[in-house]
Amino acid sequence: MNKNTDILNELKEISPILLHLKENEQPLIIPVGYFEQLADNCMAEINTTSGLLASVKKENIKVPANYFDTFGDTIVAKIKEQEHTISTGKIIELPAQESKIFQLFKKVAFAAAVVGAVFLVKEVQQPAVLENNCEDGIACLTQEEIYQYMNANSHEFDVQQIQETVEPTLDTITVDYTIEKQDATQYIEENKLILEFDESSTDIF
Amino acid sequence: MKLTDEEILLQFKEPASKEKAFRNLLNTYQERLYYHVRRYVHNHEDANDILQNTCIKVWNAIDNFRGESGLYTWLYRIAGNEAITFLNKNKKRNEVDIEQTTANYRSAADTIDGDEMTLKLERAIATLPDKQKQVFIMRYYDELPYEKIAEISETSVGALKASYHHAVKKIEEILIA
Repeated sequence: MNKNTDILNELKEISPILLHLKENEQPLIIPVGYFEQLADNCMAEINTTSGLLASVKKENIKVPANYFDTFGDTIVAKIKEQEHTISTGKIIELPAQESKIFQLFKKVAFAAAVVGAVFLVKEVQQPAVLENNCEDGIACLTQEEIYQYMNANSHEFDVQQIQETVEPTLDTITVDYTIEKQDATQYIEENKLILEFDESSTDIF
Repeated sequence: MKLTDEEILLQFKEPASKEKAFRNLLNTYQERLYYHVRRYVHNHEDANDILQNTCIKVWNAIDNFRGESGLYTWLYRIAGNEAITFLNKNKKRNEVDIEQTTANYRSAADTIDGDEMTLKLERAIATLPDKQKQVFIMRYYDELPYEKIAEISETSVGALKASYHHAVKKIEEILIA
């Protein structure tokens, strides 16, 4: 069975209507000579774009004369001025009364906090259900939906394909591998015969 | 005579033969890429725009192509992404285009029933989320094996099969509604 037949058979199983549409599809209309000219058109576009970029002159940024010569001194002077202000203990006076804007802001902030708290309580009481809502389509299907599909169509998948799909989930599962020494000793004792047999059967060298 | 991917990539490595390599690349893949992007849009002009944008991106990015995927896979991925970007940029105009294309079909061929279904099919495909749309187009129209689609979309075969199945079912629902 060739690839094309596989695809058509698959489509027949899922949707005979779509298979019918596919079989009666009209050919696409393409202008004559389109493919012969495509490379030339693309090269023309590429050359125009690169030509435009090359022709754009880098803008000269104007800087006052000797700006960089005095820049260091200016900064050092400003730092010293600040240090002097601190050492002389100059105090900047804060406004005695809150401005009206600040008072209004406080009210709005309080209202927003109340609304936020109500929303948070609601969210905690009703935890969001994982919805099948997404942008890209493949991720649109939940892992469970993919598993269900794979389970119902297990004949279509080989071990590697199942592994590829399942692996991301397995990564997120943490297993506690801690085994008590006593339990381990007991297990070895109980399965001594089997373990010895296994060891001898693989000892081929 | 068409060159192999390796021969084309070797030509790209030499600045003097970059244009020649580009022409050889187009000679090998332009038709397949065109038919792929044409499925996303409903007229030749838009397909041409997407394909030219794809080609320009390829020209600019080919120096960074490390061969981690096959050349065709890489080209296909760029073309698909360009098509999706184009669709998202022109969302409203595309809805009108679907109607217009069907009207053109109608005047070109007198098969009203088939055209109605074509219009419905195009509308239905347009409703799919971006990646599901890509999967549907690659499987339904381009008839690519799942393994190839998995390579292009960097998704597992299992997820792709489920995604395609859901897409077909969704389209069918719209068609029979």
